[in-house]
Amino acid sequence: MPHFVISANRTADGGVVYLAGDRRWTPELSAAAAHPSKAATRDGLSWARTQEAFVCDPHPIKVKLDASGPIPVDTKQQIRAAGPEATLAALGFLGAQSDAPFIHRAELPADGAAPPSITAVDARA
Amino acid sequence: MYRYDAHDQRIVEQRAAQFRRQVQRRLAGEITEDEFKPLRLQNGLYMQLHAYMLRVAVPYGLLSAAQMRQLAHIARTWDKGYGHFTTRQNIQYNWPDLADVPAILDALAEVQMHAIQTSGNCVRNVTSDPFAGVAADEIADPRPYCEILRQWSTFHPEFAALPRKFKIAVTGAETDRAAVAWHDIGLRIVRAPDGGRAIQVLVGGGMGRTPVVGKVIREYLPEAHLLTYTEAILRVYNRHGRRDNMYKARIKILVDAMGADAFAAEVDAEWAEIKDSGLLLDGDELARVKAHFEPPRYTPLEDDPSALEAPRLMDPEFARWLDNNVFAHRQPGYRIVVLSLKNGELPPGDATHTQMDAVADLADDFSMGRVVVTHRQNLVLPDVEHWRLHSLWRKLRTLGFATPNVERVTDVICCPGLDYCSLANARSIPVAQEISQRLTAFDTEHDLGDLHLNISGCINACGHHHVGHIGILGINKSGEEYYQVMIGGSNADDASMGTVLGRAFPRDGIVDAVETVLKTYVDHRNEHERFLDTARRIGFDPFKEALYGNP
Amino acid sequence: MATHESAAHAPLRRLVVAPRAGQPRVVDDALCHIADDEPLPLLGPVTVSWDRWQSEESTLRARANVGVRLPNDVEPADVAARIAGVDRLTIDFPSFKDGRGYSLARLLRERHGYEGELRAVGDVLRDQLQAMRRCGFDSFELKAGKDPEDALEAFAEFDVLYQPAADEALPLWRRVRRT
Repeated sequence: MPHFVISANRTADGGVVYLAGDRRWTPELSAAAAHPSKAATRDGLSWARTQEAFVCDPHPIKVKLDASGPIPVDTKQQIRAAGPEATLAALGFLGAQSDAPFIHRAELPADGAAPPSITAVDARA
Repeated sequence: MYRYDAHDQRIVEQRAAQFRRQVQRRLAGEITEDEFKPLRLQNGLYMQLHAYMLRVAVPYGLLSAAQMRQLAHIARTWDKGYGHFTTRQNIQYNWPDLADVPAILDALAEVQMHAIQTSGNCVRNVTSDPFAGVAADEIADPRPYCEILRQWSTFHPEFAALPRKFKIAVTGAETDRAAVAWHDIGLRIVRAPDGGRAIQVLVGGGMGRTPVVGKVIREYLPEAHLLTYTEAILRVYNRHGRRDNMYKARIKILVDAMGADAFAAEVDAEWAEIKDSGLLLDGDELARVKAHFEPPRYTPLEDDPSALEAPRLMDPEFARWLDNNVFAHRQPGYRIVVLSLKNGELPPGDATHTQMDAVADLADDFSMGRVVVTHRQNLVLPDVEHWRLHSLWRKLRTLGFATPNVERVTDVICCPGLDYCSLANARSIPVAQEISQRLTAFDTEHDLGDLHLNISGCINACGHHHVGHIGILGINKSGEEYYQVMIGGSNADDASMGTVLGRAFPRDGIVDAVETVLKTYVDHRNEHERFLDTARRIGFDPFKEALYGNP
Repeated sequence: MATHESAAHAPLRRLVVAPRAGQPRVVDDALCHIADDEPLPLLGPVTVSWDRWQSEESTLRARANVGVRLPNDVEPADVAARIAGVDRLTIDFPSFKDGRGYSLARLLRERHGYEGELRAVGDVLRDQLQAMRRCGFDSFELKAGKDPEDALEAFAEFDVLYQPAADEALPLWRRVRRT
């Protein structure tokens, strides 16, 4: 049975985020809330679209559920979740820099009662 | 090279300041992403799969050493330490934070660079011959014309919202190295029948979804009319180009629908109205800009190729590099050196900040402080004294830039593909890397010669697959990556489009398929016959049979 | 700035104006765009569509203060032939991505000598205003919800003009000494 999760890119740095059950944005696909149908993403999506200062282009993506959590069905979404296969950092061309997580320096404004919690360190790099 | 005056400088500084305010409005939530998108696109800032991507213009591919160092500084300070040189002679950064982009634009302005009009439906960065100014077969240096076009198109108020993007290429040489027939407007500086210089104008070429070779609409345009005539073409296109379907909005579709002759007549009618306007390039302005591109003070050298014979004999690697990566120069005793960014390990066209710094040092040391980005995603040191080639080669080898494969099968043109690009259907970079790793030895063994292999991750054709001698196009079949193989394309003077050989191959079959195509070539070629010529001579059937069997 | 209300009319529009000579500013504007099936009010400035102008020209000419709303795909020569004496035209931007209005404006100004008001209407956003002004527009109805005062800043963002256009007959190199 396909499920759906809501994904977007952070406004601050374009990083891939997913919507968790408590209306938090997380870079971890495993923490994303999975919905049993596209229709079931409607509420979450309309909320997400009000969060434009923090995220761009929220959209549903199709996933399979397995023990580790949701796994995207399409190659494009798999790559979005995993990061590029061949960055220079991944290939070790940048020496010590490749071991350090990439720090996104843009600070995100808080959002009052329901702040989207957005991790500022992208460990995928 | 062109040096900004106070006016040019003010424009790029004001642009950076404007974008700083636009970013502030976006981050403050005053404008929506829908409203911000066209603003960021006009500054070359895309949203890709994992991050923003900033495309910086390298006008006609030309960089000073100081500019190259600044590009390295930007990669180091605001990105992950590398950049990607593109098939349009630009550089892209894959990981900038939105809030940092204004600082990047400021840093670019410090060295007379910008990201203006590197995206959006406007006149894009003008591209040219990477050997401009130094090519042995040059009629006139195309760069002054490019620079004049750059200034004319920058913030042109009438052409801020064209039906679609608009690409202009200019060449001044007998051999076309700028693929002018594949641009919305292609300009060739030619000798007019009266012995003077003129411009041949092609219009309506392009790749993408509907590949078309441009048509000549004027054989001998007087150079003073560079801008009046171009403005007439753009006005006809802006008024009459299709806007109902983005896939049919390029000028090639309009030219095709009207017919080239009718289109030319419409342009002529418009041109007649503005021929004598202020845009007519009087001698002073042409002379002013041309003066910026005067040849440097070359050392008078005797051209003595035998000086290289000893190292050539001692070192076959060096000999291969000389044969593949070094080109004739107009000035006796000088050579043009191409640095290969295709060593099989880095993604094609990528360079780290340390490599960029090193190239800048080499440019200062060996090439009068100049570097050129090529549309094949390599770099050029245009002015190297031939007796220093061996010493340069040793340095390039340490840096990983001496792979002797320029315009050979492993010198793959490759778009960023699905590793980065939100439009892509399939990855390009890993395919290019695997081709490089698998076919280097095959090339050495069989000496495959001049062979352009171009890969695009989608139909938009940033990897120019239609004009590869071998072209690979990534497609999406039910969410999975597949690759079509086509052969017979060319972007040179014998321009042609590749033909798809048959059904697409999955990721784990595409490199085998390329190898099969190459084996078929080796089996059928005559002595010294290029792949493209063999394919044109024997036709597609032997290749189809080798790939798909006999039906 | 004083605002004044006119009880009998629709609320005044806040209009950005940028006369060729003088500073851009925001003014109150009472211009009514009359639909094709609506009668014209007896008084006050109005516009009618290009279609209506062509079919009812003689009647409309009897009333003062009638402007014409142009779609962006009309032939400027056709317009020029029929608008003698009209001193207000609008050009529609159905989307900010549709730039035909820029060419139309330049041609009306530069080739056909139109000197009346030329107003941009439709999907008119702050960041297009300078290009529109350069093409010959001198008034701007911003898209609903956009702050006109805020938009005034846009006119000051660039002051170096490379190309000739409706506002400037000469390219930069003919106006200044470039070194």
